[in-house]
Amino acid sequence: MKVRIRFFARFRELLGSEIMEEITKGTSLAELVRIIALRRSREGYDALFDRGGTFHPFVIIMRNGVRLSPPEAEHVQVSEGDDIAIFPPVAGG
Amino acid sequence: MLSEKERERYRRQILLFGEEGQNRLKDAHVFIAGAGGLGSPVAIYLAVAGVGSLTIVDNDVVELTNLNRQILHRDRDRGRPKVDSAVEKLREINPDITVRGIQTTIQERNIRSLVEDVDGIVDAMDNYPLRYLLNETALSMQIPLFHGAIRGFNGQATTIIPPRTACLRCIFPHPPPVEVFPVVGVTAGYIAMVQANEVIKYIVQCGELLTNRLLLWDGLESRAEEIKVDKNVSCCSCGTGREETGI
Amino acid sequence: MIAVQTDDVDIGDLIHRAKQPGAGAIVLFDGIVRDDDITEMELEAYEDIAIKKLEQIAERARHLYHLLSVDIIHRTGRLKVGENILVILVSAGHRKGAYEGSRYILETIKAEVPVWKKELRRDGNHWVPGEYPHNTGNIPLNEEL
Repeated sequence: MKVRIRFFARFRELLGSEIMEEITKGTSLAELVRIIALRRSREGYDALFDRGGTFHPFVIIMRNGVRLSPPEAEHVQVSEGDDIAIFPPVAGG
Repeated sequence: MLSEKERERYRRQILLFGEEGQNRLKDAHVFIAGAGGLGSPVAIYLAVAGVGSLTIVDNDVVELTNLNRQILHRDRDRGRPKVDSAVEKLREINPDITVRGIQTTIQERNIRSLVEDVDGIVDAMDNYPLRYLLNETALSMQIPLFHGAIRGFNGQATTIIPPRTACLRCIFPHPPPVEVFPVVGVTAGYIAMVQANEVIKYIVQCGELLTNRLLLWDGLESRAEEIKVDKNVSCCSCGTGREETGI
Repeated sequence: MIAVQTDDVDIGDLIHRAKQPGAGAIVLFDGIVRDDDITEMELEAYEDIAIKKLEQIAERARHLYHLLSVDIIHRTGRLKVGENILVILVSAGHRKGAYEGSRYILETIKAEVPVWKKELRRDGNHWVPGEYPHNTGNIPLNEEL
């Protein structure tokens, strides 16, 4: 099952801009992102997840244009052709 | 009513939106929260566009580390309150508008009086507590809020028109970690242009605003992308807690 | 036994304990520090989540491959060339389940468990971050460990 994950801003610097991932059925969105982050770098993983392995609360997660909260991302299973976007708010001015 | 000098100054943009549009700009009062990286270019472009009245607020003094991006300020302004430096330059840039600078920290107890009679608020802050305060104020006083934020080569921008659009908390319910953020001047320039552009379009009433849309700029790839964002019914700032019905 | 620890593990003892009634096959995977231009490796795990993950993986494997026992020991701390990094021992009634279960556990650990490594290179005096120890990303999974 193929899924597209796009990262923006700081997450893009650490994890790459676009990843096409082959994933098994039944994987949650959070699990999918964890697997990708683990593969890339510790810094990338730490930017997205806390020590307990859950998304930081400020991470913005979109699946096919619909916003998911970090807790929702733990339950929602990805489907074939999903388009996922992950990014942090920026704060500077 | 435009003077002869004003008709001349703004001639090239009057071609775009007519004297009617220019008069709207002249009658407008825009509040710029911050005279730093975003505030500087926003203020400059709103000034040259002829926004009749600008109020710019910042509590800081100019420091050397500001000068890679805060283009209203010069070496000779170091140690000087940013608003003083800003007002001086803006008046030089356009003596035909009114520019006011207030050196203070925006807080709950002064924000309402600061934005009492403004037509729009530009979020040029550098931290979320104050951004959220601007958001709350914009919502309660129903004043449009033009949000922008930057980090490194990245930026984001959106326009909030209370009560109908997504507010800042709908989009960003949780702030990112506090840090000394890296930034290059051009990122501030880009996002500030998006904000100033939105302000002008809003006042002149042309084009389509960045409402319920979050613009994400990646300066490293020179790509601007857009994410649709929706009002969150359970937003802690603007949520009604129930679905709006069509009835 | 499921553990994330600095101490080494007595593999012989694990095998001995795995010989329970019903067991017909025991498969051992022992991932060791390879002599790859490095002298030492240092591993750090996000322990709480790592242990939780290993337990989940063991449980899934038991269920999917009808395993009788699963032991996973992931070591952390400073390890020299030749030392054990990751020991996976499974027992099952028959060899099919044991081989496949062992493989499944290893591949899933590589994908899902947060362990980070630094390497002391042979030519350097300083520690450099290594790729995530189970997968460099460029090398096919089954060639790495």
